[in-house]
Amino acid sequence: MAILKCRDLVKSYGRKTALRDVNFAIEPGRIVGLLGPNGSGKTTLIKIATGLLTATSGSIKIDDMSPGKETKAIVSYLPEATYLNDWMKVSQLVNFFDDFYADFDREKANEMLRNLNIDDKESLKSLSKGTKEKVQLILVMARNAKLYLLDEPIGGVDPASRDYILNTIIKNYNPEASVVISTHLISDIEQVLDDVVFLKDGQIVLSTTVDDLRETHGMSVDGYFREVFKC
Amino acid sequence: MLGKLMKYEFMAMGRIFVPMYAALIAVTIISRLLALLPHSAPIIIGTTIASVLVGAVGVITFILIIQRFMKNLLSDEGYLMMTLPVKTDSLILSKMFVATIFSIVSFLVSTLAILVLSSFNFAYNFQLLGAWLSNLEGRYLLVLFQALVIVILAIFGSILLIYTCMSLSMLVNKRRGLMSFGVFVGITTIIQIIVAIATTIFAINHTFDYTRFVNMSYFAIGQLVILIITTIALIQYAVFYFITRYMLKRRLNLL
Amino acid sequence: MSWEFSPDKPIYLQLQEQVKLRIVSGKYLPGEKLASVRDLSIEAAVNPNTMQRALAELERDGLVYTERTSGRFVTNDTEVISKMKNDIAIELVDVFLSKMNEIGYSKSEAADIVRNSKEVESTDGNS
Repeated sequence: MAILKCRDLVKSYGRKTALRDVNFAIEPGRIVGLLGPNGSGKTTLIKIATGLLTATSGSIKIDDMSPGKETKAIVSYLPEATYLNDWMKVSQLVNFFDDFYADFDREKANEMLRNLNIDDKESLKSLSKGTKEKVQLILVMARNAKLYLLDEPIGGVDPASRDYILNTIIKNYNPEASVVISTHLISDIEQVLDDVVFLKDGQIVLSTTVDDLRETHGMSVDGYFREVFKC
Repeated sequence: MLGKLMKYEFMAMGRIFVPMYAALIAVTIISRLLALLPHSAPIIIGTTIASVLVGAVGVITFILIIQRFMKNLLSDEGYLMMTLPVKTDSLILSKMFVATIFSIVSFLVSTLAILVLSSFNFAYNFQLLGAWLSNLEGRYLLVLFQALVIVILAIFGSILLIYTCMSLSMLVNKRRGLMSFGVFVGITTIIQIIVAIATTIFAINHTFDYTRFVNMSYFAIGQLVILIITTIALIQYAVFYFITRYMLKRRLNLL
Repeated sequence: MSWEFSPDKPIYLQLQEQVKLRIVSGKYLPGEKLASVRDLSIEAAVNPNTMQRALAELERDGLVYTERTSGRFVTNDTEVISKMKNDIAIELVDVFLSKMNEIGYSKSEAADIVRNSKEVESTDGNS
């Protein structure tokens, strides 16, 4: 059964349509790239899946359930912004996630923090921006969720951190869970992806596997992206 | 889940309030001790500082209630809070309950400070109060209890009104502070209009039978009035609650 | 030896080639146990499904085999490995010769240049 299924999904704000005719499904055990230029609707789609936005029409189901309290328990979301309580210590944030998420693995989180030499007695606001982002990623990946939604996890991050993030995603691979990575930095993550979905002006223009795309077009997804979205 | 949310709400608000209360109590005690000295200047300084702090406690309580809702649910932290596997009701109620508790505590601490500074004779006055209460007829204790409930509900209502104004401000993308204030003015105006219309209708209504009240005791009339006022208030607060809930659940607009 | 990928071919095909290289060069010895799919994909920084697909293809070609309880192993058949090594060598030579041809050298001229060139340092002590 598909972990994420969209049918005729539409999201409009007044006269502006952010998403339309969105139809696709993601099976368990897949790492999917949601690709498209800024403003193509990637974040809107992710926000609808997390329950932060309500679709205008059409349906979206996570594990066959509509977005709500139950889906939030199996979806692990990493937004673009720094969204954690600034004044809390890292250890308190670990407790917070442990309190609210049954699938949170405290040991895994602490181990990842140790590997990066992050002192959990530090308050979040005393950490550098890069470290803050790593803490957010650690907390999100330390959950044994069914669907991970990562919105621009590697944008604005140094190359070593980028490698760490991709490494974490591969290490946490679970054949019963899926990961959706929304990004416009394709060349860095291409080899980690199974499938790619291209969004343009709120519509899906291509949905395929990385291997098929390379075979069919003789170029990388990154190269193909540049072709499709040439200005 | 409500309990857990309230725990974190206490942590977030407590870290500001507790030092503040401690400061107020400390200054009050110091002022009181200074009163034992012969010079009047330290007393005046101490009392002034304490008075300023009392005012500050009130203002800060108000501001903090607003800030908690705005910051934690409607801006960046909203990405975390609104994706937690909890009911929207829990999110609203946890904040409302903790805000109410701190409002009451702020009031009590401030009152205590003022009484201490004005050389209030606690022992004597509490004795008087105790005597009065024990001599009170049972049904008047009921009225006292009802008054307490009404006060608490009124605090809920004010807080819910503030939440409603902030939730509705999500309808715009810019200048939400101004929008919240505008909504506040709008809602209070509408309520006043409704009250005016209702009162007028009631006043010019010729068919209402006033004679049935003639034989009622003052107590019964009082209870009827309390019932009517409470019902109207509860309807109001329910409307505020449902508007807030609707906005958070279906019209969330995190910037 | 690091895992490097070019953009124009499917990654699973490139993974196949790179594992073959490691086998023929002796980095993975005949009969040696391979690391798990998970560990290999972490090492190569690729999607585990892709690594799995590449290994399945290699299994079909007879270069690796799976023992259900113990994992994946490189084949013990040294003949298969030699043939593979030879096939790879022929491919490399074909590419070399066609490139030399492009700049105007015939096969025998190219062979002379090879004969006169410096001895290459062997990397892992294998010839």
